[in-house]
Amino acid sequence: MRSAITSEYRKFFTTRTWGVLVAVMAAGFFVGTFLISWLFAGQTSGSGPGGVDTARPYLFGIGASMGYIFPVIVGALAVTAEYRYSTIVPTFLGEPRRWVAMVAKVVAAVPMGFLIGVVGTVACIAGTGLGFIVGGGAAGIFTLDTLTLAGLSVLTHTVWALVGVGLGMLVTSQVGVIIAVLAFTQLVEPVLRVGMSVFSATQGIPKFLPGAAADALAGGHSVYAALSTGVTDQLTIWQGGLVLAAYGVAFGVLGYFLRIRRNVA
Amino acid sequence: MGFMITIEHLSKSYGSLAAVDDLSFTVKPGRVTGFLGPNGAGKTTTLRMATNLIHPDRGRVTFGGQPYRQLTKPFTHVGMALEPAVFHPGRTALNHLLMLAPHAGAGRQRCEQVLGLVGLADAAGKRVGKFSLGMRGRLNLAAALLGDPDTLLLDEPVNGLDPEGIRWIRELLRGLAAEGRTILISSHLLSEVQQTVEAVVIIAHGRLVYEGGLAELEGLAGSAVDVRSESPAAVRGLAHAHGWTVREASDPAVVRIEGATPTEIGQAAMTAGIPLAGLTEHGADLESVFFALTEGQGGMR
Repeated sequence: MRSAITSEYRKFFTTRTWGVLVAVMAAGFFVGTFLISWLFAGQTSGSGPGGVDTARPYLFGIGASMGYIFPVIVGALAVTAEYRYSTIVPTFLGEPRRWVAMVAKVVAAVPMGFLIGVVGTVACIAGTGLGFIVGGGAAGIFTLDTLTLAGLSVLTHTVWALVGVGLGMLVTSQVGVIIAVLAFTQLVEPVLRVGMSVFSATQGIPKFLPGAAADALAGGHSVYAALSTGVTDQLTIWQGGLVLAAYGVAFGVLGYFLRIRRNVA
Repeated sequence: MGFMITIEHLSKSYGSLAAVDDLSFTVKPGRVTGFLGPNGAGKTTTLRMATNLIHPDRGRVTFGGQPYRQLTKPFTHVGMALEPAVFHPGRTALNHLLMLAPHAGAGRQRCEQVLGLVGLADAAGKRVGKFSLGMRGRLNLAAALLGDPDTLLLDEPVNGLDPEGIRWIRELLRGLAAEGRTILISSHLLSEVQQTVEAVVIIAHGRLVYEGGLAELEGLAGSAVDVRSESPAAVRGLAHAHGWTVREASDPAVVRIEGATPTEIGQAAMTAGIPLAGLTEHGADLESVFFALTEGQGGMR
């Protein structure tokens, strides 16, 4: 198992894909949070509704609640890139017990997800802080609350990367997984979250969607929750983490039996 | 000492097509064995089943009695180079090996060593996407050698190599076999590996058609002697008298005889008082034997 983990870990850092994704993510988060907080700071102040202090944690959490597409894709690529370039062949030659090879990918994705989480979270907090300062307010970065939120944000990114590995095992097609992730995270889930919260019959469901579970894990300051008009009850941090992890495990187990065990030609 | 590779009743069908059909043979250590057959004969499918990439419908392949998936650190026992070679184009040659190294119990030094061994030391830092076909073949071989395995399975290893490269790989493989390793190389052309292998396994349409030494295969080929004479009719009579086979030759002055050496024919002609103008021996034509073996079997497809 150890050799498989070392091998997987090296695979991440010997291609440029992850670096490009992380750089795009950092730039996007920073610029996005900077612009939003700059606008906010110019219009409102104080801790009342719509005030800077209320907005701040949502902005800090943008990475975890909206930007998770990056760790998911980096995690998924750990599997799909191997199928795309057929390097899954030497992978399975080196570790013929395929479940071991897959568990190794999950373990190796932990430091990768952590790194993405740190970069993404720092980018969000720095962008938000700078935006408030430029807009004439206080950055408000160095509070205990911020540190807790930052820690949860990093954790959320890390779990997302693991969910990505599971999703990659289930889809295995590089193009397929990117389309599925984009469609689900940018369209399907936001519509479901807002839409289902309106009707009493479905109000209880959205909180179990992966994005909502991740919001709960990240500290509960979800942009979507703020946008929803109906009931927006959320899971606790622990529940959110477990639900999100359960998605990853379910994808991975399904993927193992449906895809990974198949012949490699 | 390398493993004895044992293939037992191996079968694999894709729909109604039997890719490999009840195939059994053994590969012994200490020599290079050629695994031959036309394209589509089932060679690659067999190699992939041997290494657990494809699950056989029936039968099994063992290395020294153990199936591949039960080998611990398989790269230290069995080195495999499949064709086409697979690489992530963005990875450098050295990084490709470093990625495989943990499975082979190899460090950075060993990776650099095998790159040197296959003549890629200068290209260690180059991205594989920029490699030529020949360089990819060499890197593929380097990966197979990484764990210093006692058993090597090489799929079409001379593909894409220039004549110098073919000679180089021949020397390398013979040297490795002389150390007692088990080496199986596949090819769709007998002539490509004829000078490298001692034993051959020939398959066609997924079935075994020949297993044995190269020398015995040459024996199967037989030889023919073209006898040029002023009186071909007398030569024919002589051949019939000795029970030799007579074949038509394009030149009416020539009689083609099988089943006798030039010396035997010369002496018999002298004894019988038949003047001969020339005796020409045709060497064993392995390629046509190979052709006959592989076309003759299951030729309905």
